[in-house]
Amino acid sequence: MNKEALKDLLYKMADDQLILGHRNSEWIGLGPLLEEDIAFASMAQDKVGQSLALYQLLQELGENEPDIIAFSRNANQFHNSQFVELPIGEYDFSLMRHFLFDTADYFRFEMLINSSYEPLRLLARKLKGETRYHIMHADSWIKNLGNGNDESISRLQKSLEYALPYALGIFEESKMEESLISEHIFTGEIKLRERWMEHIDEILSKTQLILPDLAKESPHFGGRHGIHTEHLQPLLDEMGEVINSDPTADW
Amino acid sequence: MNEILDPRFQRLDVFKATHQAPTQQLDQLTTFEVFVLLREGGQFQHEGIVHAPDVEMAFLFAKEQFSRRQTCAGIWTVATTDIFVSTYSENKISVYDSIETSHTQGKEEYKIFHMLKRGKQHKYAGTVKANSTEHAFQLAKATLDISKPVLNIWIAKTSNFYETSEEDKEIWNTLPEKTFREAIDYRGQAKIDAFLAANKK
Repeated sequence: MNKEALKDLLYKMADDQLILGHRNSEWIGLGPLLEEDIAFASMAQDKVGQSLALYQLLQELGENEPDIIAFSRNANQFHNSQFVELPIGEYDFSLMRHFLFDTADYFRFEMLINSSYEPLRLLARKLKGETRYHIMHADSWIKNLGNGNDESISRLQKSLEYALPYALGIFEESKMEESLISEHIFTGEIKLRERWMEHIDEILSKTQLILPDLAKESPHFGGRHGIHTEHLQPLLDEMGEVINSDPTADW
Repeated sequence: MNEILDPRFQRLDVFKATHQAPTQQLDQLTTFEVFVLLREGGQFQHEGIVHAPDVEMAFLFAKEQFSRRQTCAGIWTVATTDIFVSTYSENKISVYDSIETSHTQGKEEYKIFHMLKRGKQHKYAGTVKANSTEHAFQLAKATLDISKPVLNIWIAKTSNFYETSEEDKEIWNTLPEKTFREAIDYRGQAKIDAFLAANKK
């Protein structure tokens, strides 16, 4: 098995979860209503938990321990898509990102249920369930607000148009993509993007939102290879504040 | 020292803002009642309410409000206004005592919930097929287990509920592992004790 290709896949998944989990946790205490605040915070917590599980798989493959990996790397060592590092913005953007990212996340786990790498196969089977809740939650909000009033529809439409090129960056292929596919570790980003597209289209067609022509969008690639926006490093500095001031700190 | 990016800190001055005008009426979401099944083979019981725009979102909110810990095998939600509430009876008198019994079935399914003890939750008692709430009440008297005095009854049309589907049950798969939601999981006292012991030497 191509271990480097596998590690690359695990890193990008884990980094996406860790960064978006931290980003979404910024809404704690500020959500639009109490129930949503709690639900959104729980899902952010799920994401950090999922990143931990993936970093543990990496540790089994010889990488450093999860806390070190999570808090002691610089931005150019991160494999997350640029999409997840963008600031939370207004709630319409955070909700749209939740919808676009978690849909990809759900179908990635669904595809990984057949992975030839057993630990990943078992993990995907386990995590698919909680991610199913994430997309049920996202779909329901998009359908509600996408059929709401002029403000909710125009806000979501604007967020959709802004988010889309970044969302397409989720599907940036690995340099070892062919290895992943031929060794049946993962069915590949192109297949995932197709499955993602079907679901996004299905949900948006139930709303008054208009999905722009994806063929005309140019995806924001680079994140998978360490190229990030100016928003990532300051976030990492803040996340690493404890470990950087006391590497032996326990919490 | 880094600037603190977390918007919770950045927006702290929102709390210093001048007193906001009270929210206008109808600017609030309505309430939905939440029933939880802790484990397969158990009984759905009332756990509380959530505010939500509709019954489906009520279900989604209820999942994080009322099934954050231990286990869960299903949730039902229904609008508070869709529930018929009987009068309350005292002591050993059952609310069924004062109504007629019906033996003729109707067309629409109703869910019946019983409260057996003051201060305890309503528990799911079963369904009846009736033509009206009153009819459902009378049918419940004939078909459900009412051997113990029932102090209060809730009745609601099954079609008004949002219920967990079979395939959605996987959303609770990882719940038993989320021990980090329990304060005890952090073993705070053990850490304090270890710290004190280390600093004594």
